[in-house]
Amino acid sequence: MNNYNIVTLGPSGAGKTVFLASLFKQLSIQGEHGFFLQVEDANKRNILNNIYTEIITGDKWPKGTKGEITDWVFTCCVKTPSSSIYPVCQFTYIDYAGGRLTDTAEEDDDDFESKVCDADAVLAILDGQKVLAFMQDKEITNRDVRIWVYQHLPNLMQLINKCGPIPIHFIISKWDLIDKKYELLEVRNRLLEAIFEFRNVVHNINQANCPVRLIPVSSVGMKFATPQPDGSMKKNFCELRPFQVEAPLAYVLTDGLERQINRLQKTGLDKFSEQLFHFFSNNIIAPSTDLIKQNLPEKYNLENHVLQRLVDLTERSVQKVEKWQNLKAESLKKVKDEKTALSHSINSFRYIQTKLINDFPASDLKGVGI
Amino acid sequence: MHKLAGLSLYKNKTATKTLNRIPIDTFFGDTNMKTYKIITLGASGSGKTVFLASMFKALSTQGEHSFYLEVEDREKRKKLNEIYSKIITKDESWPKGTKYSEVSEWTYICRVKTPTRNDYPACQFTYFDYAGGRVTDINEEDTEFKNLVKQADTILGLLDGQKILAWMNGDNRLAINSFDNQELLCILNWMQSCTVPIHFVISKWDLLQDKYSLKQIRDRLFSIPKFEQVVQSRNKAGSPIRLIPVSSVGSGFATLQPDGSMRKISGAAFQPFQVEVPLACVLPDGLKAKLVELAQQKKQLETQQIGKTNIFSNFLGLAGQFFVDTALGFALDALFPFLPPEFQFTKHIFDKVDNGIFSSINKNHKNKLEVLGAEREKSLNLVKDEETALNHAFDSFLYIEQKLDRDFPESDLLLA
Repeated sequence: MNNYNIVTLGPSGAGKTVFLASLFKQLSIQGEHGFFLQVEDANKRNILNNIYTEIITGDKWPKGTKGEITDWVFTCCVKTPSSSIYPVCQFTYIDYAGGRLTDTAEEDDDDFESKVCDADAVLAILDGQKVLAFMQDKEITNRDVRIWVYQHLPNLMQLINKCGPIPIHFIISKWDLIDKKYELLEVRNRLLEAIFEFRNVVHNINQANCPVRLIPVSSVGMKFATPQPDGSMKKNFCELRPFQVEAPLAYVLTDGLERQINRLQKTGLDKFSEQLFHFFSNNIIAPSTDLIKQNLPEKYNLENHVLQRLVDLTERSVQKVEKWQNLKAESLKKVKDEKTALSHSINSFRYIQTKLINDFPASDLKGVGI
Repeated sequence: MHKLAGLSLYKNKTATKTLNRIPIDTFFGDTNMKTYKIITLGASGSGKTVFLASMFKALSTQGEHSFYLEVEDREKRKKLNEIYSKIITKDESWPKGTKYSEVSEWTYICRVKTPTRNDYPACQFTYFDYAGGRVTDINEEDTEFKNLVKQADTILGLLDGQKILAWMNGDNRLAINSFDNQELLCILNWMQSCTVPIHFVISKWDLLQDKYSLKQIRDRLFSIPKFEQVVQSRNKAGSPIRLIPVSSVGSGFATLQPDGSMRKISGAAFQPFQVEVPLACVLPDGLKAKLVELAQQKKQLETQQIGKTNIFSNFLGLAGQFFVDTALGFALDALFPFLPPEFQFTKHIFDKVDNGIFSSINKNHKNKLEVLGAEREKSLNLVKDEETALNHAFDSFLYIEQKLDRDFPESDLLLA
């Protein structure tokens, strides 16, 4: 089974652990998204469940994962209407202890940097609480905001700066705090304007034609918690409704494949370039996938029909959520093995992606800063 | 030992031909990462450590300059972050001065990120930062410090912008004496025995920029005989010497108080100014200085060998910039093998010498900045290993240097 590595970066308290627990809880049972996640390691499954329980019942929030790097392996599966279950692929989240980004007194992090460089995607978590304070502090006078803007964020950007040509998702956590106060576009513009390291990194990623996004998420949903004057978050103990936690995951496979295709184009394989000429033109004739398959790494070397769908421009241009919803529903009925399960999952991923683009067009940072 | 003395090749024409037959490419692309030592001279409080922290922060991600700096040493990186934190938080005081016994080495790796997100190291810069008291409290027995100065590839003389302001204003006798008779003289004394390029960096330029032009400050500095002597001696040697205004924090970050302290302004943006310039000048100026030095040694050898002057010797004997402009191109091939390893660059870089990039004849070329910008862009797309990364970094440095020449033409301390 193919495995895709995703590294989550972010200072302590940004919400990485809560995010993963929420992601698992949100997708542990197949629902509207048409797939679900399993954690096969019983111990880790218990940890995630306990973290979630602590969120919904405890007075306090789960502690940060200081001093650890923990790999969380999620198996993406599809359950058919007849209750057959087929695994599709695995996503390994490498949860990076936040302290290292704010306090360089930690142990040597060479291993971590090599993991980042081997990742299929990087999720950089921007603490929504800090983002809110940043948006409210126009002159950047508050001490904590200044430290976030001029130290913590630049440290994060320095690490991302070292990453290779991989998709980068900037996740704004705790979006429930920001929603209704600021639009994503406002937040995006302010980040680009005030933080030159952020601007540099976005520019460089765009230059490499790699996907880069700014995705708002809430691990607990709107109204679950309210910020207090002392900076803490008070739980309201209403229903937990995670918001868009599945969005970053939905992009991993398709972004990764797109990156590989871009890479192959740049290496200048003559025959492949010729195929890509048709691919990147408005010609709706889909290119032959055989040549693509010959040159892709194994984890992106998918079945012909799946590849075909992923590279098909006409399909990618479909922006209607309902269209993907219907396609997803139809493909679920046809799942009878792992191949069809994968094909169906891609419809699910496309549905999630389209929904994000429709709801938050500013989330796509493609072309920004160039 | 004379660099070329070991070669008896110059004794006869046949041997000279042998020397010329050594392929230039053999000496290009030294595989070890090239390291350049820069020693910072400056009194206590002149801003040396703050400058180093600010330079790192400004260049820690690749942006308009198309290279970036990395500090591999975890403890050093932490220290720079701590210094930086102190600077940016309003309620914190400024970073404390370096302790007398402390000589800090800060090694920055210059790296290049390609448009395809590949990443290559180009070269290393090691800054020797030490207590300002070691400059002003002259100690002839300070062997460690003397050796450091001798090993440097570039000397950075940090002139405290706050003191220059008082000196230019003429309204603070104590400050004037301190700067004039102590600080500046001490720095100049250490410099006078150096043969490497010298960069006078005016720190805290944010205090000066709206009050005095660089030309005014330069002219005033030239009224100090010792300063003029040092400049003249470097000019004669063909070694670059510059006056570079920088601000580690940028305009509007802090204001000067009546008691002489600097108060941070609430909400001020942190916008370092020209902190990348001294670093960018190290390689181009260093190469120029080495080539001129070798050419002069060659000439000296030839004069000794031949025993009489000839038209060629007289030609090479012309001092100053004219010598650099003409003799370099003429003697370049012969000089390559004798350059120190850290200056044995690729053909890409030496072609720039041939093309007159270093020449003051082309200095004011109208479109030079655009040309250098285009070359930088082009070389970025060619980066595929450490060697091409260094080629590109060199192009970036030339661009920054040219921008300095355009914005501050008085920065080049070349006496007419």
